Amino acid sequence: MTSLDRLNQIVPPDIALANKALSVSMLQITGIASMNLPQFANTVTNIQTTYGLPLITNATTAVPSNSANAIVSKLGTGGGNNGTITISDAMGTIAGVVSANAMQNTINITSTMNLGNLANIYIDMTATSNGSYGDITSGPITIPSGPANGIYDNLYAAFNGQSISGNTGGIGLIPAATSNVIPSLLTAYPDQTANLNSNWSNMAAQINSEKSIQTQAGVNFSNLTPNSTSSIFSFVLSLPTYGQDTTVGGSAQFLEAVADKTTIGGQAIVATLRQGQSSLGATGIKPSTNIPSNPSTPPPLANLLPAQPPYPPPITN
Amino acid sequence: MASTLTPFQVTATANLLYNEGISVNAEFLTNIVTYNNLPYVKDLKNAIANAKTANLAANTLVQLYSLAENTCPALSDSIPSTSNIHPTEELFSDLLVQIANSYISSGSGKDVSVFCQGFSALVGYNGVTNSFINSAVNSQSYLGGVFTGNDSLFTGGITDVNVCTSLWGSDLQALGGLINLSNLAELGTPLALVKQLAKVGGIIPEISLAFANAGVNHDTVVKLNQPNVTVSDSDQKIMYAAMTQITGTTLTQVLTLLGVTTPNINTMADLLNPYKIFPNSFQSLTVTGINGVTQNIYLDSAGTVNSTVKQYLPLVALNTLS
Repeated sequence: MTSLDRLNQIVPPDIALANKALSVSMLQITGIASMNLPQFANTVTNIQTTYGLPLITNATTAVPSNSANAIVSKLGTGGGNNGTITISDAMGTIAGVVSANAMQNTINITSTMNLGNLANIYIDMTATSNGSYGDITSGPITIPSGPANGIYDNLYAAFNGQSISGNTGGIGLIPAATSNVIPSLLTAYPDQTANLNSNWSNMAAQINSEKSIQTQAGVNFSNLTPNSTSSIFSFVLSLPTYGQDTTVGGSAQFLEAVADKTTIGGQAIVATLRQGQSSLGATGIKPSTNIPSNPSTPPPLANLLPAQPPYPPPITN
Repeated sequence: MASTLTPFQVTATANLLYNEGISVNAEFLTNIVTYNNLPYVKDLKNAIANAKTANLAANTLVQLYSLAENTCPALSDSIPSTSNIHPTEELFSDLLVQIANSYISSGSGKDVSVFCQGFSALVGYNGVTNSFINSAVNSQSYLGGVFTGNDSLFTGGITDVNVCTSLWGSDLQALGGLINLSNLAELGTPLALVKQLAKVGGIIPEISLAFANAGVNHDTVVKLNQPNVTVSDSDQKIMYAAMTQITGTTLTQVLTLLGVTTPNINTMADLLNPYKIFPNSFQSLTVTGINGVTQNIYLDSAGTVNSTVKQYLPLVALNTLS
């Protein structure tokens, strides 16, 4: 490079400075060195700019942060990096995503709690409904013990509470459950119930996510085409590609979870996923995995309409 | 066109066509069954079944499904109040199974083709959506903190040189092959101009004679047609002085060889003056300095050069490295 201090010695200083500034500026143009001047001139002549779009021209960032945030907050609700959506976010329940573990946790947690009173109030509900505590139509219904004990005029009163007759009514089965039994458990087992709520909230969040993503994607499972053979073909042909998505919550993990591995078909699905993951294709080793799809005996050819005139062609005058 | 299939794909297809091979996750179903067999859950389900048989009032029945939905739904198998899916007469464990089955069923029962369609559509949607999400996130950092403006991004930096692209383009077109864009570091030097002349048409004798008469070193003059010729700064200064005297027919020959049609080029030295070679666009020529500020190279229509741009040119452009 001929720097400005040298150029000043060769040409007049103002011309030197203008040239050096222009040189510095033009060298910032991506790929300019690979073009000749006529090509570049043509490019410059025809290039479009953001003139007349002041909000774009004067922006201080390539994408305003509020625009980026708007997209992320609206769409980035998934469990992937940056909130990206995985197939497990979109239809994970069938694969046991969240719910399989949450249900197991529920079983484990409740095994550490004494839920006898809870079971008893449900048993009282059964006994009340099936007539064990009195005629459900004509009454009276007598619940002998527990937080709902009392004499009720009828089934409705037994569940909701006695309020109108002179019977010595109790508070009713449902109020007994919601105001007595369950609050007592919340008090007695604060950690367990909090943990249960966390697990169940997670399951609710999962199905909310699935519904939301399916709505955004315009996918309504109840409206899909039944018995669509072509969709099965397409799915099978895409399995190797699905297998390459080995991210958490991605296609491979999801399909492994729903493949019925007690059947050869389910195992074949997993095997096809693995073919997609296999690195063999990038090597010189050729697996013998492709079955010819053309018939072994060529089908007979049809007699089609002649595409050539007879020879010699008819003489035209 | 027939597709090539692997044995595994053929086997998978054979099963899928008969609605086998895909099912609701076994561990999930097992855990649901285990939960439903917990004593308090069995008692709850018995209670609800008997209440239905007894024709318990509908609004009361609904309360049985939602006993602890706001406090601890696991204790009553209630759908959590935070769920957006909330059928009134359904327990949560049943809802989960129903949702899972809906992904693999049509009106006629189990139908894995429904799963295939939904899965494919959602994978496709996710791919597109994720490209928007990731682009939005990356947009905040991908330039590494250097942003010279949307016009610059949009034009590959061309508008950083001249925002009036149409006028500048016309001026550039009139210059034919004057500038070698792969030699921009030498822009403005007589040697760069002579090299370009040699490249497009050769050094005509009148030019060599003018340089020789002006006092350029003889060895330099005879080597000017060589592509890798080097010339001392003192000789280049003499060459520039000689160019200021090259006019008339010789200049016309030079302009013709280079393809220059720019008006008002009065001497060969004018070809080294941006003010002269960009007559319609020199006032909007700019340079972005190391301070990130874009400045005009010329201050006015008379071609006064903006001396402040010097302060913000990179050091490598200012001084010869020793």
